[in-house]
Amino acid sequence: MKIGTVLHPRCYNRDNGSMMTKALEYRDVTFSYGEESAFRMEHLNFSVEEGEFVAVLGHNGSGKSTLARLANGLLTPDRGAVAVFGATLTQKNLFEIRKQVGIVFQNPDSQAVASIVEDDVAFGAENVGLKREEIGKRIDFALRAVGMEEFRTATISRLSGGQKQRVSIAGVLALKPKIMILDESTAMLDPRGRREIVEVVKNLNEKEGITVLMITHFMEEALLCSRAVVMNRGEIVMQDTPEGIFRRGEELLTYNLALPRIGEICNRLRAGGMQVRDSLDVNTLAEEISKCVS
Amino acid sequence: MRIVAEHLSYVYNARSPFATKALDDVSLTIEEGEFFGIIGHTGSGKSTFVQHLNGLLRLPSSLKRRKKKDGVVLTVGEFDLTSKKTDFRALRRHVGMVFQYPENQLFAETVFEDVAFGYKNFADKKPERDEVERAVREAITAVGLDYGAVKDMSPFDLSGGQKRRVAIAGVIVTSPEILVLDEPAAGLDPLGKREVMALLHKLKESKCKTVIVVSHDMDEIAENCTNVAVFSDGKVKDVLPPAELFKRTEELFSLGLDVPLTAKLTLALKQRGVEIDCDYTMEDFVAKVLAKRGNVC
Repeated sequence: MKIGTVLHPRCYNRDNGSMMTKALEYRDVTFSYGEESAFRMEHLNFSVEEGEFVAVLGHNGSGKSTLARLANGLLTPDRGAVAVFGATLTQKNLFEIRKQVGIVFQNPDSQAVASIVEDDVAFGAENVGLKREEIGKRIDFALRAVGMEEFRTATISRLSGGQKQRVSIAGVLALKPKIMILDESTAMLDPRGRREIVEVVKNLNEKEGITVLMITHFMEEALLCSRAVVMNRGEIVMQDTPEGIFRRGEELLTYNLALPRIGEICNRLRAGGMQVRDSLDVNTLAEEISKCVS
Repeated sequence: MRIVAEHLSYVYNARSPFATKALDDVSLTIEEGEFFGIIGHTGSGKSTFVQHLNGLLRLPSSLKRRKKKDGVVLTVGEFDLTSKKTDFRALRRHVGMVFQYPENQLFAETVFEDVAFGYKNFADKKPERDEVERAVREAITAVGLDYGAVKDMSPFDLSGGQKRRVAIAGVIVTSPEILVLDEPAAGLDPLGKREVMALLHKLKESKCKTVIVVSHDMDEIAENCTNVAVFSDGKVKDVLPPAELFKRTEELFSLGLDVPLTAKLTLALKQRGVEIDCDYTMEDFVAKVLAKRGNVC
């Protein structure tokens, strides 16, 4: 085994001079799905600090899901490495790392492994060989965190899409992960279900300190994050605060993305000669407009 | 073809402990030529209703010998769906149904075979090769794909948006007069969404006379529909054009539904003493706001 290749998890952050911990780090990652595939990810460098809530945007096929799957070893880089809290992912520590990085996928109907809520939530915890009492505690904690305590003995197939996804999240939470990745987990839900999930995740980030990487097509959801990144052809092409990203509307269009509708309205008003400042929420924009009308 | 439903009810698992009333005395008319929207939260009966339109769900009176109609009316053009004598096969050729995530239903080895399946399936006798090819070429071209480039490809090698187009082509290949789509833009990226909606407008002008979409996206509804039906608890609460419907913000919120962004802004402006009277499309909203512009800025 080579010694000296593992970086210390605590590294110095130049911007604010504080000690920051890198929760997830992609070091010069190159990956492809084989010779025939048109998709390539080359020399990707990207990291997420502990406690961050990062949105990943990009059109279909831009590499968002590949990014997610590389994070817990569902895919392995061809070259380069992925590190979780400083530990480089290898075949040996794969299962340790999967306990730390949970992924929730898109389809609420294809992630359940049991028919009763508590059995489903327990599955992951049982799988890693926890004691029975501990599993019980973990189920309590996970269901409380996603607001599904009263559904503990409910049949999953009779729940709504949003509720099913909350059970999926609870199943991941029962492993007490430090990082949670949502791979378009809200895409198949109705607006109410979407709101439920976003609230639960935001709460986990703020109260439990879980680092979140949220892959989404809904530009509005990205507004809740502390940082947004845009992917295109396996590359990270933009990185900024959500406001910063959406100020660069023209550039977004070149990556086949659109502004959130509210950004588009701001742009159109300005194009029509009304000097409103960029506002990404309804009340701020209404305020801006009301200043301009007599 | 005009769609008329009167006093339509439907119960799942009737006469069992799991009986659930999905439709409760629904009356609704959809005129030919409409771009009709159906909204309502999950479980409100939207899907149950649209599945009646091509006989995927059948009324008891069309199935059982002695069952009376009890004043229920359900007609699609000339077809009387309450009657036992109706040719449901012919009906399905006229009413095309695109389900949620239709790309999950692609199955054939090539795009050509996948699209051709619907055509062959609905033909009265085995169609000639030329005839099938003509229909498939027309359908694939109509959904905006290059026939020559994609026909021999596996549908599974296409991108998400392209797969959805192929799935829609597989439905319009029989030239249905009415096209019903359940969440046609769900799960696509923002650009893909716009493309699909633009495609539906194009289809409505060229191939299908009436388009009916079930959607959760109120902005999409406001931008595209001529009329909207609001479902709640198996009942139809309102049938209104978007310009009227989204004035009722409070009512929609109380039904657990959202309103378009333009309606939220209109409401927020009203609270600040600025009245905007728009039809809730982005274009009209911006125009009406700009018209109110003072000399201040």
